[in-house]
Amino acid sequence: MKRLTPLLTLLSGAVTAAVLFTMSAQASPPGTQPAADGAPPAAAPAEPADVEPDADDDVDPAAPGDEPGDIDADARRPAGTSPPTEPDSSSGGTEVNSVEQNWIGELENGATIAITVKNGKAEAYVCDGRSMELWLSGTVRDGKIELTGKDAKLTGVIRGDRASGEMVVGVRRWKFTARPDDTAVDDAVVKSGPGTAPAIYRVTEATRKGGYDGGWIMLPDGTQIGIVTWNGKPIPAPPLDPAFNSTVVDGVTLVAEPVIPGGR
Amino acid sequence: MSQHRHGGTRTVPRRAAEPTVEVMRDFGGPAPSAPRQRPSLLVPLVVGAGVAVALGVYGRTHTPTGIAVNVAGFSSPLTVKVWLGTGAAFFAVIQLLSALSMWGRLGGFSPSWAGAAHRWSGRIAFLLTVPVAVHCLYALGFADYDTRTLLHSLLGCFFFGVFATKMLTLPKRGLAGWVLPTVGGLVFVALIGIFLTSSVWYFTTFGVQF
Repeated sequence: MKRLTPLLTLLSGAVTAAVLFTMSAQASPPGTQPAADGAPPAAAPAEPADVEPDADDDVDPAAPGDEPGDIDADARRPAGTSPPTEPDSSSGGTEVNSVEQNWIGELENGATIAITVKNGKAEAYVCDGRSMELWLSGTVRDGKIELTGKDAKLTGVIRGDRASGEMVVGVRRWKFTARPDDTAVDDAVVKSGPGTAPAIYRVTEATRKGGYDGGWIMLPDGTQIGIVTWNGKPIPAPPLDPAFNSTVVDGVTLVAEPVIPGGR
Repeated sequence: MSQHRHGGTRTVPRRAAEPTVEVMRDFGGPAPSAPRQRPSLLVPLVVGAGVAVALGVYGRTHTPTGIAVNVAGFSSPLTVKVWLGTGAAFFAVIQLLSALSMWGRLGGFSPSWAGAAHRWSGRIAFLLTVPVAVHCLYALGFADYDTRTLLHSLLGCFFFGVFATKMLTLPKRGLAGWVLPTVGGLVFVALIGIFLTSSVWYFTTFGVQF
C-alpha cells in the first residue's frame, strides 16, 4: 500500500484537473463562439447548422439555451444558440445584444473611428492603435450625429451611406468620414438593422477596476484596432480573441464586452 | 547499496518508523557488484517527459479561452492563482526542509515525523498547483510573449513532468542514492521558478492583492 501512495497522489491530481477542466469548459460562455468566424448574432434562426463553428471545448450544447444572458459575454449570442423553434428568443436576444448600425471611418490624423447606433443613442470610440483613444457617447437622430466625450465633442451628418463631420478635442479639430459597416452581416441577412453585430468592444467594468482599460474596433476587413490602457499608459492592444472576447496583456487576461448604446 | 555511508554522507533518508523498509533497502537490494540490477528509471522518465510534452502541446494548440472556473472570494482568477501558487511555494519550502531533515542534512534535527511532513506537504503543494495549471492551460495556454511568460510556460510543463517522474520513482526500491534528491530538487527548482515568474512577478507588478 505504501508504494501506491505516490500513484494515488498523481491520480488525485489528475482527477482534480479533469474535474476543473470540465467545469471550465462549462463555465466558458459558449454563447460567444459564433463570433469566432465573424458571424453576427443576426436574426437568422433558420440556419442553426453553422452557428457552432468552434464548439470544440466539450461545451454542453444545451448550456446556452438553459441560461440565456446568465453570463454577460453570453449575451453576444442571441440568435445562433436558439433552436429554430424559438424565433421569439432570437429576436429578443438581438434586441438586447445587437445594434442597429455601425459607422466606421477615419479621422484626418489617421485614427480610426467607430460609431455604433441603437434606438437613436450612439457610442463612439476613436483610437489610433498606438497611443490615442477617446470614448464618446450621444445621439444619432435624423441624420445628425452629436457625441460628447472627455474634453471632446463630435458632430456630423449622415448623407446616404456616408457620415462626415468633425471632432474637437480641447483646441484641436479633426474632420472624419465614415461608412456603414455591413461586413458584420453574414450572407442572406439584411445589411443593417436590428441584427447588426457590435463593432466596438470595451474591457468589462470589473477589469477596469483592476486598472486596465481597453477598447477595440472590429474593422470591416476582419482585423481589429485597439488600445489597452494600464494605469493611464496606453499600449497597442493585442487582438481580442473573438471566440471569448478576451485577450492577454502581460499575462493578464482582459475580458471585453460589446458596447451597446443605451445598454448601461 | 552497501556503501550507504561514505564520507559520513547519508544516501538514504532516515526512516525512523519504518525499520522493515530500511532493512529491505540495506539487505534486500541488489549487491553492489551488480549495479545493473538497479530498478530502471525508464518508465518514470518516459512518462514524465510525455506529461511535460503533452501539456506543452495542449497549451500551444488549444485556443486560450481567457476564462475558466474561478474561486469565490478573490477579485479575479489571477489573484486566485497568485495565492494558490504562493501556497504551493510555501509548502515547497517545507518540502525542501523536510527532505533535508530526512536525509540528515539539518544537523541532528531529523525528527521521526519528517517523512510524514514531507509526504503531506508535497501532496498539498501538488494539489494547490493543479487548479492553477488548469487555469493556465485552459484560459491562457503556452505563451511566449516575453521571457517571463516563456520561462513560466516551459517550467510549468516541466514541473508536472518531473513531478510525475518523482511519483513514479518513489515506489522503486534500491535506487542509487542521488536519484530521489535530484528528481526532488528538480521539482523544487521548477516550482520555485514558476512561483518567481508568476506570483512574485504579480506582487511586484501589481502589488499584493486578494
